[in-house]
Amino acid sequence: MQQASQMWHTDEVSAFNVQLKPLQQDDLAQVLIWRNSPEVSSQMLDQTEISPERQQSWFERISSDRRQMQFVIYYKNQKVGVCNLKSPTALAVAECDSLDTGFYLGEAKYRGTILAFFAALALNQYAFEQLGAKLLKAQVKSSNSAALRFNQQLGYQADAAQPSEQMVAMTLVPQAHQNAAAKFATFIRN
Amino acid sequence: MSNELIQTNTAKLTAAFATALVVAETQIHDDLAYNSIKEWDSTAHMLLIAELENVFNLMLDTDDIIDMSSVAKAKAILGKYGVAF
Repeated sequence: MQQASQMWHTDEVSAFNVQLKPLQQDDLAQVLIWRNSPEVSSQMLDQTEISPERQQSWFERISSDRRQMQFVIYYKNQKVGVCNLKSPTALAVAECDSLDTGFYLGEAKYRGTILAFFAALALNQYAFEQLGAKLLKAQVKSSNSAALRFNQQLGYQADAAQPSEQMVAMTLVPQAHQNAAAKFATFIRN
Repeated sequence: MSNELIQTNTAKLTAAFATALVVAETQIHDDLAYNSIKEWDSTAHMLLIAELENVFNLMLDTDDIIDMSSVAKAKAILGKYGVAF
């Protein structure tokens, strides 16, 4: 059986000083290092060490799955992190009004900086403007106060009903995204 | 570079940090770092960048905005733009 070398989607996003490119086979080694780092894995639901074989199996399974898009975040042609959009239903990403977002910066020097906002804004803008999403959803560990504040700055609001005490479900609507993007626009430099 | 100018720049920098972070000027010292106090969060960081650009009449590169992680680092970065401390 032939191995997949890249995700099914081909769009590259260039906005807010960053680029988002579809995840490829060649990215997996770098992504595995990031994903297994304590700084990243501690914020994940699954905190077990991921083996290269398990990651490869995951990639082969999801690379043709039209219910998700996986991107590598680039800043100045350097890979700095990973983000994704997922349909919570059986519908393909492009057919779903509400999408789940996932995001982390793997490069330690950029974590907690304005670059994190740029990458998230680029992803959210793509989802709203290119895919036509009506809502974006994110789930954050309630103990991860930095991520909660981060999402609030992006325009997310905590949902009235929460899935558990450990997790905070948040929703972003297009207008709130546009307000957040305008706030950051001053800092977009060429 | 005259001591007077350096003192003026230091005072302007201190005032800019105090204004953006909404803290007392006495709290502004070289070791003060991004995210080390609740007042210096990502929102305040953007206000700080805008304040520094306004006070010193310059436009920082994205790399420098990302890299400005402490008061000492701010001085070093502003030095690249000809602001002496």
